[in-house]
Amino acid sequence: MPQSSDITVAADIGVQAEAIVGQRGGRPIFEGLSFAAHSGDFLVFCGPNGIGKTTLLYTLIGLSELIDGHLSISHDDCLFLGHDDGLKGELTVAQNLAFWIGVFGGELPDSDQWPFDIQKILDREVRHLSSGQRQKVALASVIFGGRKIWILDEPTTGLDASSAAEFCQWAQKHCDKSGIVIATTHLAFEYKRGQTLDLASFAITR
Amino acid sequence: MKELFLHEWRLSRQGGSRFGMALVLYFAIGLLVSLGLGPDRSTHALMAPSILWVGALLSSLLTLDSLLFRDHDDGTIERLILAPVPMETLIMIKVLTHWVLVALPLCLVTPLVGLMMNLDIYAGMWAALTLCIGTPAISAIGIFVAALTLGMRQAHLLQAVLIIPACIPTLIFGSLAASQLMTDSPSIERTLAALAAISLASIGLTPFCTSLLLHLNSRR
Repeated sequence: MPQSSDITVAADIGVQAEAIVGQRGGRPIFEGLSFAAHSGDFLVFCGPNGIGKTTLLYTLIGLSELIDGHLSISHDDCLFLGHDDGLKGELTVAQNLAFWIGVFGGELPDSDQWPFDIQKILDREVRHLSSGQRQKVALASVIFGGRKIWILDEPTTGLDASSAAEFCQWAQKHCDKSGIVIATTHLAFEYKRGQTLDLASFAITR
Repeated sequence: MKELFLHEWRLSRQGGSRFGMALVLYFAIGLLVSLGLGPDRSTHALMAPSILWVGALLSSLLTLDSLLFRDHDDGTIERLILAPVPMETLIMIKVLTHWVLVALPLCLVTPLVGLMMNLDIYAGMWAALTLCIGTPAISAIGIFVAALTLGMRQAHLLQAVLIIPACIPTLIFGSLAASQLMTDSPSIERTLAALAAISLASIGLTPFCTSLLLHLNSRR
């Protein structure tokens, strides 16, 4: 990680955090966390359950209050995907994707360009999908959402190994187009290409 | 914007049975009250405006819990906070869809329910008119109260307790306007103006208050 002294505020910095202290339910959960994500960065936060990964993401998108430190991020560029994916079970995959991609101003791809072979399940209702398939649909809404910064909470949960690898390729492609991906995982080995930051070293343990 | 409306519309249509239930309840109230009032026909027409209004109010309240709870539970609101569409627009669309799918059908069948209450068809139409003017307030207040109780335990109970007093002004002016229209009362203009004012104020304020509530509610 770059030290704060050699960070010059350049145009391509998407996210910059300086010594931030985050909280969950009013209790500080991590402290002194500094990082910067430039265009093209793929940043992975790892650590065991309860260490504050999800809280960190909520802090980044402004849903969790910062106790201390400085955070600079443009929420207009962000797209967030948490554990609750916002997909409606009674609507079809195509309808759900049209909504989530449309609402963020992204563009639906041609039918042969969908990731994870989603074109095969487009007309199925989401409630009839397996949890892995459902996660793929949610990820597709992120991939084509047209936003620069993806903020993803354990994006590969429920995916099989080859789908997880495919997702990493899409994320890498997004980074190559000067996008930024910030993700969490409790399985540190999944992302071979990204920079990994272990949240455990910033945790406040009581 | 278009997507939001389409999405909301599809979702509401999928939940069609709930909206059908509002209509059935409305008919049931009209029928049961007219049977319960007994054979004296003159009392029927006298009470009809208030019965119609109470019936419409209760029936449209029945569907309010579906407005925001699901979006809160399944993470939709959490994700939409970052979307380029303002939350106020989303609320407005929800109010509009609720009104079109629940309140408007109630208004349209009001002349029929009125017949059961021994109202002639014209008087029924006057009652329907007052409902058309007043029910937007109920949809708007409903979504505000739904946002207020979001994420609480026993939210439904609290919602019912909060929403009844909030709807009382609409009910008073609505049923007053309906009976004044039927009796050609000279003060009808003032009553209708007050009813319209309640509706407009509710529609105008609700998106902002509700959106603020949703933002506060999403914070952890």
